[in-house]
Amino acid sequence: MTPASETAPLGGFPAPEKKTLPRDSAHETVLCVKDLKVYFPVKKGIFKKTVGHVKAVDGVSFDLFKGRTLGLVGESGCGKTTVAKALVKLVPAHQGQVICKGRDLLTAPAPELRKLRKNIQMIFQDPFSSLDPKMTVGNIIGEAVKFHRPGEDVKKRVQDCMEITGLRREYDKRYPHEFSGGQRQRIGIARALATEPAIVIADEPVSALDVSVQARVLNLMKSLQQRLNIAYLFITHDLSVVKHISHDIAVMYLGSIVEIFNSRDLKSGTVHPYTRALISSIPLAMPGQKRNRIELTGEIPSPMDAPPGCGFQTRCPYKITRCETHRPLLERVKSRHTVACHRWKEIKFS
Amino acid sequence: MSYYFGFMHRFSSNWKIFIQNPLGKAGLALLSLFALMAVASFGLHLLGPMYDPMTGVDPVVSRSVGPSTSHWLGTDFIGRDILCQLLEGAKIAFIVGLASAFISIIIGTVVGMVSGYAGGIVDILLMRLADMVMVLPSLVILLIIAALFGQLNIWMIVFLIAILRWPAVARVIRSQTLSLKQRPFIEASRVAGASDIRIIFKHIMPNVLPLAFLYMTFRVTSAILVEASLSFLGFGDPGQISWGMMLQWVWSSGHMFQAPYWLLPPGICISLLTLSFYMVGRAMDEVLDPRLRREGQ
Repeated sequence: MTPASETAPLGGFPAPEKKTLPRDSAHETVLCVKDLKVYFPVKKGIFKKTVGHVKAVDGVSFDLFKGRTLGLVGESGCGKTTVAKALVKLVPAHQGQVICKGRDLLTAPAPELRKLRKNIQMIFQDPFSSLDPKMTVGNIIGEAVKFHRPGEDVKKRVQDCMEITGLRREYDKRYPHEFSGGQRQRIGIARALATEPAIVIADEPVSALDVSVQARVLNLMKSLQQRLNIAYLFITHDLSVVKHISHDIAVMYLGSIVEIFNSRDLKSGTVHPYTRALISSIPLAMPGQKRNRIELTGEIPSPMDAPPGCGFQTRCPYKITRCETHRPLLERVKSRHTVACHRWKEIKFS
Repeated sequence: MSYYFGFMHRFSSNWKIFIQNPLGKAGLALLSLFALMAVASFGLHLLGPMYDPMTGVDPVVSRSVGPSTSHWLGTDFIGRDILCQLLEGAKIAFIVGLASAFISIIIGTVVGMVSGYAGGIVDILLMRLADMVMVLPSLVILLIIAALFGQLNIWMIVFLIAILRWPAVARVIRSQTLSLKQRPFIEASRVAGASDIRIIFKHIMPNVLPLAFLYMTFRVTSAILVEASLSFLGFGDPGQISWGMMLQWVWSSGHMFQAPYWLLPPGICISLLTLSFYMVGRAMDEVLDPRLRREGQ
């Protein structure tokens, strides 16, 4: 496979913007998520009585900015994927707002929602099961084009998308099984880009790939972002990946965001005890290098009956009584850095 | 062009698996034989009016006689050629089997996909309906309908068999749909903005069709048997010769134990044709389900 030249001007796509905005300046908000809650009812008995709710996502708020990447990290089962699925309405949200282009996606009626979907596309985790095995690559990528860009030359558009993702134009007649994992993920990326979305949600897009292929796909995503000015919500459990691609990082724990910070602060600027513990678990590249790993004890509470107060209280070494009763809200630490912890000012990390 | 290659490649590799299976080989050979018989029946009029399976009577024979040079399998009780009737019967068996199987997989596939995809109350209603139809004894229902409305024509029989035999297909397609609708590629097309109808017919249907065709072969078997039974009991289409009807004539004219040359061929044909469809189905099953393949294939 010959990767497409990264600098060649391409038909149908805007040329890369030469003028780069200074960091930390105000970026245009393209997606605003407010207090998103996704509860799954737990049903029991022959009458399917609802006996409780699994609070998979419990009050998540964040903004996505044009041309920027927000990395969403957290351990398995903390609700990362549920957030992604709720944003594209693959799972119904219980409460909250997802505002895109001034419209709330969660309350938009079906015909309008189908139009809004053009702006927000998704890259899936598993490149094998996310492509219909009975469809040609051209049809897979072209499906969304047909809905959202009627009257356009679908074939040309598809081939343009394939080219910028590093696939050969003439591969559009082939079937997914004829491609390798990395190539399939490129197909997935091409599909997500086909409608020229403002926002792309990437749900662990590289975790099913080999490490060598991972880097290439990540670099592809990065260069596409620079060229097309897309906002990414990049979901992963792999902190070394998130460091590489994200401008901002949001850390999730038990269905809510505990800290959002600029990725420059990853090494030493974070203040939440969970973020600290998570970062200390990143393996170091140099052998022999010493690291202070923070070992957490205690159990994660079940999302079905989460305790009142802070979700992290069962494992937090800095817990006080206030943590058991009052749920911490996101507080501003500095520009582009918020944290949900009662004691962030007091805790001194060594 | 490469679409064509992809298709041909898959076809040829599946064909290899199919033909390596002894059941597939034997089934296909038998099936081709019967297909030849059915095709040959279209040439019967070339032999002259004497060999018309329905009306052609040998002017010198007025009772059932055994095989001879002019009648290779003998004649029936009024002097009609048994071989000609057998060939005509093969045509009818194919028509009845394939047509009713085709109709029943169409009904079954649509019901199964809708039921599995929609879920909830639609699923419950459709599946209870399927249960109700499934427990109906097809032959008895057909007999009652035939008794109520007089003689049924062959297309009516085809349609009734199809109407009574879709639930098993619907069940299988539903379960496959349940598994398919959880796959990420369905989610992906929903994110792209596809409607439910489009997802069902563009994404789910191509993925369940191989299974539907597999079940079609089994439906053919049962349709042929039901039609043969109905005809044997004297409720078939009187305007069409079928193997079941030949057996009925053997029995009603009292030749059950006098004319083995007349009794055996239709009986053997019914068994072998249903067997061959069954064997082809089993071999196709192996193509579709790799777990059934033996090591090293």
